[in-house]
Amino acid sequence: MEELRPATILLVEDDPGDQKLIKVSLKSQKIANELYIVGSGEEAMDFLYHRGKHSAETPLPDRILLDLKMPGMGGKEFLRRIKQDEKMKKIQVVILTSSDSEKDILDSYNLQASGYIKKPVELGDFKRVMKEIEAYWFIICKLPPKEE
Amino acid sequence: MEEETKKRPVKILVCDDDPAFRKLVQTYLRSADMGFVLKEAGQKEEIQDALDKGGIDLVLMDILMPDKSGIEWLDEIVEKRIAPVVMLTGFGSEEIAVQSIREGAIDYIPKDHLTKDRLLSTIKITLETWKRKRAEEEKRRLMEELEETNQKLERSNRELQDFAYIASHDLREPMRKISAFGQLLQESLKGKLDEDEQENLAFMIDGANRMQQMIDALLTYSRVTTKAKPAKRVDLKEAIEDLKNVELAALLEETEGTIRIQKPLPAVQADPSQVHQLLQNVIANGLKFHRDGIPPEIAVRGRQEKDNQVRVEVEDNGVGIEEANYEKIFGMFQRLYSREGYKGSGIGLAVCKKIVERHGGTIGVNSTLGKGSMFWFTMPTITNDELRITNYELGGRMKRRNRLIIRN
Repeated sequence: MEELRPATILLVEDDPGDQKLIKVSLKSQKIANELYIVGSGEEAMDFLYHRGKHSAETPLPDRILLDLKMPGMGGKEFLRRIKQDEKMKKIQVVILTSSDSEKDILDSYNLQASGYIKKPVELGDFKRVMKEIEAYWFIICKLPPKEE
Repeated sequence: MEEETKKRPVKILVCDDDPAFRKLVQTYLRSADMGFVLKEAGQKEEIQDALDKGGIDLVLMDILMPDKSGIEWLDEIVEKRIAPVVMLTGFGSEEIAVQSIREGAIDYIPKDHLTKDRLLSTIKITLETWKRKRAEEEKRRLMEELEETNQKLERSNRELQDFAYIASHDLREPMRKISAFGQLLQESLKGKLDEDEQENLAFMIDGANRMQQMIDALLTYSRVTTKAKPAKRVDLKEAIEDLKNVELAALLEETEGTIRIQKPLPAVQADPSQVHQLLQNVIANGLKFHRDGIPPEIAVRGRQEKDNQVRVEVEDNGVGIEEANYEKIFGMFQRLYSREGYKGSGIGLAVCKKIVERHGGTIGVNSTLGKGSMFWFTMPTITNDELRITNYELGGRMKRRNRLIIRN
């Protein structure tokens, strides 16, 4: 039987405060998945396609936590692009944003995001949200090989 | 005109290079004894001088003038709106007389038909026409100004709405950081701060949270106009049943309150989600502000009013409001009670007012302190578009009826 492997996570978030909050909150929930952090849609593209300062062959992340409102390439555009790429489109993307506008929710759904979570105001809620995110298969379960 | 002359003598400028003709005009005007003041001008320089000095009420202008033709003078006087012009035409110059009317002369007199009566009646009519024209021009100018001001207002109003929305949207994020990192500090410094320091930090976080709530409230308020949806038929009874089961369910349970619909409620034509919000805010207030130990009872009734309006009344048996505060409660962030006593953003009724007024209605309250309040509002039962069509049809019928009357 194969071992469970924790998913690797790519956080796409331009706000350093939120980067830290998410990191701290994940830790507080004892979620110790490997976390990569990039500050923009463009950098996330570089990360996935091993370009620029991300040219080192980092394996593709299993999950992406994606902010929507970022300068330059926003979250939606990033999402649209990776969902068009056969290799990338299987990566589950969870939107983590401060917007609760209907349009953003609907757009994200139509762009095949796996989930949509509004950043809570209360720190306690913020931490709890990380637990919800964990439900998105942060622990990858590989099926055991068939027994003879 | 007699009134005119009483106020100020009418100053008439006669422009003709023929001194004998000027003399004739002078004789006629003087004999009329209406207090006309005559200014004569025979040369180009004299005319220019008289026009520059101003105070001219009417110009009699010969078409055939040396150096500068009567038509050229006419153009200049019309353009500068100095005074009304009556052209004096020679024999056989009908064509040029008609041209002068086209170019702005009020009237013309063929010189060979000049009599005292003709001169006086022409002056009278010309002064009246001029006065009317000026009034019309002024009216048109004012209308244009009004239209322009309206457009400017609309533009700045829209900008202000956008600004409020964007500002509150962008203000939320930094506030969230202050609150979140404040709470992080509170956790990491637990046990290391003395009581005073703990209190300071708590004040800071509380302030940030309140600011956050206010920003959210501002956002809700500005969304009433920025996120408005087209009007639809909304069944008020259904809306209230929805509120009972969902949005107000917890509050009803907590307060042991009841909502009674007294009469079949008429439907309204409005933005459905705004009607929901309006009813929710008004009813929630009634539930929240109940008297100690007395479970809130809300009664909702409505009736059709004329002018395609429906009046809805939401009555409660709560703490009531002093008359001095009837207006105040519909303002932004107005509270009559402390935050500790009654929770809320302090914006609920301001949002209600904005929703009702956006739909062309009015909202108000009557209350007896210690007994309860009755909030009422009016809403259209017909959309603006339908109203326009109805008015148009009415207008059409009116016109047809008028035509009949004329025929009879």
